Formats: sequence, C-alpha cells, structure tokens
Amino acid sequence: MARLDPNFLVPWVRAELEALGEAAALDAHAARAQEDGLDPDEAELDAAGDLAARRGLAAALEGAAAPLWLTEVREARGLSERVERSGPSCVAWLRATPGAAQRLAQLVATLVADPRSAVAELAGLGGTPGCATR
Amino acid sequence: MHALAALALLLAQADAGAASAPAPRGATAPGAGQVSGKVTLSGLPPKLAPLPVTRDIKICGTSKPDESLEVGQGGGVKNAVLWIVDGPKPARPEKIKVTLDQKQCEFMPHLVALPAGATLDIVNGDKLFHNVHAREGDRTVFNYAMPVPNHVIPKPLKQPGLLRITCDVHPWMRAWVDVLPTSAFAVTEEAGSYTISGVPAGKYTLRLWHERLGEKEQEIQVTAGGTATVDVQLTPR
Repeated sequence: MARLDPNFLVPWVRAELEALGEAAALDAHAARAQEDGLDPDEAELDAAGDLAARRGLAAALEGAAAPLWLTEVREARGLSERVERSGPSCVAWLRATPGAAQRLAQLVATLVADPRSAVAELAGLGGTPGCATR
Repeated sequence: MHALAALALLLAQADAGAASAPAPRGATAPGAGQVSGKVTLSGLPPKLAPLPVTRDIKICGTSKPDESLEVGQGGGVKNAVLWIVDGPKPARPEKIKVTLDQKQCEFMPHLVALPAGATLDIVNGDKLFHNVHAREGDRTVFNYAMPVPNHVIPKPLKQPGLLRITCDVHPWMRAWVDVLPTSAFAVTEEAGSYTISGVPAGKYTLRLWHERLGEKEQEIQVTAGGTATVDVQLTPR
C-alpha cells in the first residue's frame, strides 16, 4: 500500500466524498476522533485515513497502480499530474480531486507501456487529458 | 562448547527477535574463517523526513522514523545485508526461528535476514488490526490478517528471496525479509559493522544489498581460522 501524503489525503478524501454527496462524513468522523483526544488537525487526518480505507478509496489507488511498486502519493499542487520512477519503485503526484484513481491508472498504463521512460505526465488543464512520457 | 548447548544458545538468540538469524556454524569450526568489516556511506547522508501517520493516530502516534536509510557515526550504514554467494547451508534450518513483530504500528525489526528453511514468527503486538502482506516483486507470497493481539503466525520460508512487507491498513509500515540461500550472512548494526562467521576457507563472492543503496559484489578470499576484512563504501542513489 502506497503512503498517502496528508497534504493529498485530506483534501482528496473530502473531494471524493463531496462528489458522492456525503460532504459531512469527514467532518462527522473527525469530530468523533476529537472526542477521543486528538487535536483538530490530527483528527481530520485520522478520519481521512480511516474513510479512505473503509470506503475503498485507498484500495482503488492501490489497484490503479498495481503493475508498479508505488511507494507514495503526493499532492500535485498545480503541477501536472505524473508518476515518476525512483529506483525500483515509483512516486505519484496527483491533484486532490475526484477521479484520482482513474487518472493514476492512465498514468501507470502509460509508464508501463514505455519501460525506458522515467516519468509519465498527464496534462489536464483544459481539453481532454493526454498522457505523455519523458 | 557442547553441541546441545550451542543449539540452545542459537535458539535463545533467535527467539529474542534479533534482526538476523545467527549462523549455525561458528568461526571455530574446523577449516572455517570469518569475514568482517564496515559498510559506510560516502558523502553526507540525506535527511529523511519522518513518515506521517494517517490512521489510528491515538495508538500509532503522529509520525514514524523513516528507517529506509540509517547512517551512524563515521558514516556507518545500518541494515545492509551481506552474504557469501555459494556459502555453506545451515545443517538444520527448520530449528531457526526469527521474529517479526508489530508494535505501535511499526514492524520490528525493520529488516529480518534468515536462511532458507527457517521460520519467521509473525507477531501482532498491537491492540489493532494489522495485516502482513509479503511480496516478492509483483507476486504476493503471503498475506495474513492479524486481528488478535499477540497472535503468532509461524511461517516457514523455504525459498530464497527478498520479501517486501507492508501492512495494507497502515501504509507507512514497511519491512524487509531477506531469505538467503546460505547460513553465511550478516546484517550491519548501527555503526555499519558486520561479521560473517563459519565460512570454509576458499574464494567467494561477497554480495551486499541495501534497500536504498542497492547491490554490490566483491571477490574475497577466506583462510582457515583467519578473518578477511572487507569494508564496503556505498554512494547514495
């Protein structure tokens, strides 16, 4: 299972839940974690991690990356989404928006199809997202 | 030492959860020598950020140290595995047990080395659900759910191979299990030092593996009763 950077995990889980019409679920879960003694940031992160596992969101990312050894997912922060080889493993940079697993699958497929490339990029700002390697 | 006493000592050491199973043959075996040295990193070691904990924070804590590269004083590299290619095999590997525990959402130790045929005792020391997922490359070798605290699963490992261990519930948890085709191996300790005992005299290839620094090989010669000193310097990748 790839590690999910908190800067990606929390907004991504929130965005996925909002897309499902369950925007309140994360806050409700975080409130319960706060009652258990965690501070607000810890509680939100704990809730996001828990919901990502329970709702199958983390498993969807894992499944999308299955052909590669993906060690970490980080937030793309305005850069193009990409998967980059790092020795025998890979790191993904994804936007914290709904559909991250599908986009990751596209990136992974592109990188797998071109074993000599170190990076697969998804240029998704406007128009149909394309996927290129370099 | 009496053979039975030596075996008892061997099993006691293995049960204590050492990072590697001790080699069954001693350096004092007739015709045997040993290989020792230090593994170091050239240049400044990279500073690795702690791994954020993203679930079960109340029990696991908020972060965990990144154990993928630990460099001690003098540049010594911890957790490099060194073994003799075509080295001796243990006489009774089924008697060797090494423990991989899970405590506060960390695998302990981070690296286990053992000879093929030995048993890995997998323990869940937490009052939390963990699973222990072992992969060799893309292939799952085993995947055990461990919902019960202090439950022990004995897993005999008969085939040599390098297993990457993860907990799918807690993605920051990582460990390695290196199943080796020989009893002539060692794992470097904090200062990067290692000693491989019980190596019959002869010419060999010494192989090294480290999870971030990669692999390296070197030809060596071992003499009966002697110590071959082999220091290895690695560069960050």
